[in-house]
Amino acid sequence: MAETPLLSVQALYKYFPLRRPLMAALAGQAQRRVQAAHNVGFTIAPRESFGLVGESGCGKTTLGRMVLGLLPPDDGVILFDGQDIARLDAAGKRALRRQVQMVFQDPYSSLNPRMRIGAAIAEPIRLHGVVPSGEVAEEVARLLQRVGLPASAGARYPSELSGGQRQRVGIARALSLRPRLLVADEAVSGLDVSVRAQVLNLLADLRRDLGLALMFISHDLGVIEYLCETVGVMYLGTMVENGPTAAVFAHPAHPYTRALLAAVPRADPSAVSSEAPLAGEPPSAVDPPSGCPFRTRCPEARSICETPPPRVTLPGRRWAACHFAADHVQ
Amino acid sequence: MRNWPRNLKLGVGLLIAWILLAVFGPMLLTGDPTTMDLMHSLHPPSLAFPFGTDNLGRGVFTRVVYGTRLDLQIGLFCVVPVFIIGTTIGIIGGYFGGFFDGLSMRLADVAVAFPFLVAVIAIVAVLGPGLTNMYIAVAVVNWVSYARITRSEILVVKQMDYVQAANILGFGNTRILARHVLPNVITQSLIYASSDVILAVFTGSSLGFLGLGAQPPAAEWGLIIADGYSFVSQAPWISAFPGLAIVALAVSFSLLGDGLADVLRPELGR
Repeated sequence: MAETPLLSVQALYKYFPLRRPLMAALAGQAQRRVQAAHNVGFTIAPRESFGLVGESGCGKTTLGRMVLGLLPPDDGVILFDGQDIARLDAAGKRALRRQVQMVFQDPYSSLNPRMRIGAAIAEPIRLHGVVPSGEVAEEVARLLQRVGLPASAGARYPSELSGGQRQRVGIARALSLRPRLLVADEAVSGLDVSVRAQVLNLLADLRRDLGLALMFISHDLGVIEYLCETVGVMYLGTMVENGPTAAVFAHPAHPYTRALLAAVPRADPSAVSSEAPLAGEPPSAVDPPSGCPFRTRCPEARSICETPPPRVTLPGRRWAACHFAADHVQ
Repeated sequence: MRNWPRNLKLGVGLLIAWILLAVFGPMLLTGDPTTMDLMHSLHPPSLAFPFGTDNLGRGVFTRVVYGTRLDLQIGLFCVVPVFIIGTTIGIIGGYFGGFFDGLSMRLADVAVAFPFLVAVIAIVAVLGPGLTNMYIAVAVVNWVSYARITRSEILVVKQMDYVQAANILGFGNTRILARHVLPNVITQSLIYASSDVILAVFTGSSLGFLGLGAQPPAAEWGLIIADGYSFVSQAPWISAFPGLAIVALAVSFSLLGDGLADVLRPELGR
């Protein structure tokens, strides 16, 4: 990769301890824990849009929270613009806040119901001194127009707006600090299909016009395919495949990616998927299977899968964590 | 104001009327609430004595009007400090959690382990009778309600995405608490406080009646009721009119509380 990545996540581990009964602790039973991230690594280049996809509970959101610096990883490093975000001083943290922002899933709980829209967007601008204090009002109006809302919306309360409009406000608020990376956690999942398309187009436009990098977390493969240049597929806290979206979706190297793609409903009734749909529930993240985490559901699992799969580098800046990855992509 | 629901308009109107009565009522009266006049003892209501007189010849009307001052003061002093203390404890405990939260909630358990009135009476009995000690006793017990209400609201609000967003936008804790958390949790306490005033007046009157609150010859409604207690078959007006005053004040505040709830809660749902 020629450019230095904007965000580089290396060998990230995060476990959440489960509550253990006092008696179990006294009896010396091991602390049980949920595996949320296990040796996760990926990079996002400046202006790149990266999609993170996987079933619910696979650790996508936890990963997003760690990138935002809301949750400390147990092990591993997150470099933003070459700096380890875990080692930042107060001033560095403040600077990071301006560079990485977030768009939330639920447009109803992401806005303070007691604050007018204009005040909610103006607050971060003022606090961080993004523009001189005389120009805050203009900046707010500009941001509202940028996300496709009339400037008059600033005088309204969130309860007076629709879900799609609120989501635009959430985006405007995130943009108010002029970030370089926007983390969007299921940002369109709570919206109607028609509104979803509008918000997706808005995100795509903003990314192009403002040169934003995007980390788009979703379980919706269609959305990822539309919006993201590269994609990372998560399963049980591990990243199983990573690469350019078009190539990964056209020729998935990991059986889990193939299963996910096969599960996407097609609008064409005559199209019959050759792939068998994924059977069963994902195993518990408390006791993930040894070796390859997917082997309990994998149609191609063999005895070698009981050993941890290598990260197989594939042509076209791709990799997959599967013993047979190279066989699938020829 | 025009869009206010009817109960809020009525409640606010009555509250203003009570305050005007407390401030200006005594100025308009010629009589004194404590001067005895044994020539006119136990007079039934008449033009000269609208609410009759008590066994010492004091006009019950005069005493009830003067009592408004004392009873509103009791309502105010029993609720406002407790509201501030309890809400603050609830906010800090609920938002930051940890040791302070555990400690304050265990103290709350202790404070409410006794029935409210029993606890207040016990504390006043130790500190000595009088209004100041009554305020202290009420504060010791009653902060719990506000702390618990606020804490339970905070536990919900602090999970909301807008609080998380404020964190990500780099706001400090003080700003997040004051601008994003407090305005969304204070409503419940505020509504509770307006009905708690009634409870405070009842407590004040009960302690007055028991001789632990306001001391004779002060004109306090509970005391006046106690004065008339021995004469209730001959001169029921002595106890009846201050009793009616308590009821009327209670109705005013419950209308206010109802109205506040209607205004502050509805479309705010989320």
